[in-house]
Amino acid sequence: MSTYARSTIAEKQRHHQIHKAIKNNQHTLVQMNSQEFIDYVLHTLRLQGKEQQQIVEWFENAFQKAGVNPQSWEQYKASIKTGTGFIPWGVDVVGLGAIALEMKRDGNTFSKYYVKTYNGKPNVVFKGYSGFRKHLTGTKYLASNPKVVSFGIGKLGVAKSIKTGFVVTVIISATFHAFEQMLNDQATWHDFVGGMAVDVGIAAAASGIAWGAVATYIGGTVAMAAVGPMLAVVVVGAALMMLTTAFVDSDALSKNLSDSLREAEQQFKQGLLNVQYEINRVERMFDADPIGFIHRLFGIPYFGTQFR
Amino acid sequence: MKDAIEVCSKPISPLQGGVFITLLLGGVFALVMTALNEFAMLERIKEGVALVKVRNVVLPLLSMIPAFLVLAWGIVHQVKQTMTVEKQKKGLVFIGSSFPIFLLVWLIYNTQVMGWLESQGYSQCTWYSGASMGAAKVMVSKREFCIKEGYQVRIDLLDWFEAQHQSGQKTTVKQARNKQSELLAKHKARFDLL
Repeated sequence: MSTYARSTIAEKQRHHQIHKAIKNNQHTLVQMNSQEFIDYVLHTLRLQGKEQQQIVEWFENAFQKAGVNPQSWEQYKASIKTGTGFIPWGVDVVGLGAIALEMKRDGNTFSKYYVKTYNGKPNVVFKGYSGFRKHLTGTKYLASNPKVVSFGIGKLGVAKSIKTGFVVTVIISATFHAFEQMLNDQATWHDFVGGMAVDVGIAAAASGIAWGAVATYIGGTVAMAAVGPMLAVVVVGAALMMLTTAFVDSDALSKNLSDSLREAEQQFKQGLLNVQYEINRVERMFDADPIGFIHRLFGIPYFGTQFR
Repeated sequence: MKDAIEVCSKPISPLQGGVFITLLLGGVFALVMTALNEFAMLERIKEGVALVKVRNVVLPLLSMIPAFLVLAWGIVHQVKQTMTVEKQKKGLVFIGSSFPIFLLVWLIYNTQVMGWLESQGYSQCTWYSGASMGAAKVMVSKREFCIKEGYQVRIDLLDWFEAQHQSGQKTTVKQARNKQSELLAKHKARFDLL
């Protein structure tokens, strides 16, 4: 097979992958180097109906707002003006940041972005809106450079996985305590609620710490949606949960909570008894001396027994 | 898509990194301390104590320490901005693969320890063991120590058993029953007023 045929097939495959990723995912995380990003910006501006001169002004405006003047700008300004295609622009971090910021301000392509230097070359990493997808496949770099589309963000986000894990924990805990209630006639609702509260609290704390630690390890929450980090959150969260339950003596904590609930119930019952006692006392007072009762209630003048 | 970006990370502040490194190392420290306690608890079996609380998950959890350390190490690299995708992937694979190993170790250890305890004449007391996830299993040397009515006062009763052991006294079934009755009377006086 010739080199041309192989590259054509590879190109078609990459097109197919990009289309598939876009179709299957609500959001897409993209990394571009400076050349790729400039090409993408140019393409987007052209699709917005801007003329070459307007595009040049757009770039100049972006640099002016950011207070920068990249050295290579003058060199490639003419190239943009004449609309010649390929622009091997090695713009620096600050310049690239200025362009990315202006694109974000335009507000129709991406929301979150950051600029980072890898191997001495600036790169833009951003999360695109749905509208940016049509620009994505239109740029020449995306069809030729396999490193442009970093990875698609799956529909199942890490937050959802934590939520799912949390719900599963609650269900498992509830099942354990429900069995305890059924099989042990010494157990009361206080033990059920106390045990559940401790289990859920520990699960929530462990999940939170695991999520934070893995997000820090990954370097930001935006990359947390990949399978690896999600798996790590589940693994670390489960381990932390088991460790915490063993370390803090969850059973003693549950007992303390259930005893507190018993006390609260006790006080509530005592309060109800007091109210009942007061109601009975008032009824007796009314039966014994209705006028005197009204007098005491509303302060109406009362002169002993003369109304009787 | 397989073509991962070279590095995909935002700069991590030293404070954020420090907080999570401290939490992870604190977790490792807590695990080691709990494991030492567990060792000491299992050592008591040789003395023929009346009751032991075993947490079969603790010692197998030691196999997760490398995963915690890899996570902490990765956070250090993130803070220092020296993390690469290659390192990140290796770390995640290591963390992910440590969990099945832990589950396997747990399964084997649990079977072995419970078998060993039974061979030593101990049996599980479900009334004292509690239902919380990860709650310790309470093993008694004689079935008579396991009193159903002791469920509501089990924490105090277990503390009393511990105090008995610390003071070097041999606990008898009669002593345990008397203590249980005493604690239960206090419990009823406190909660069964109405």
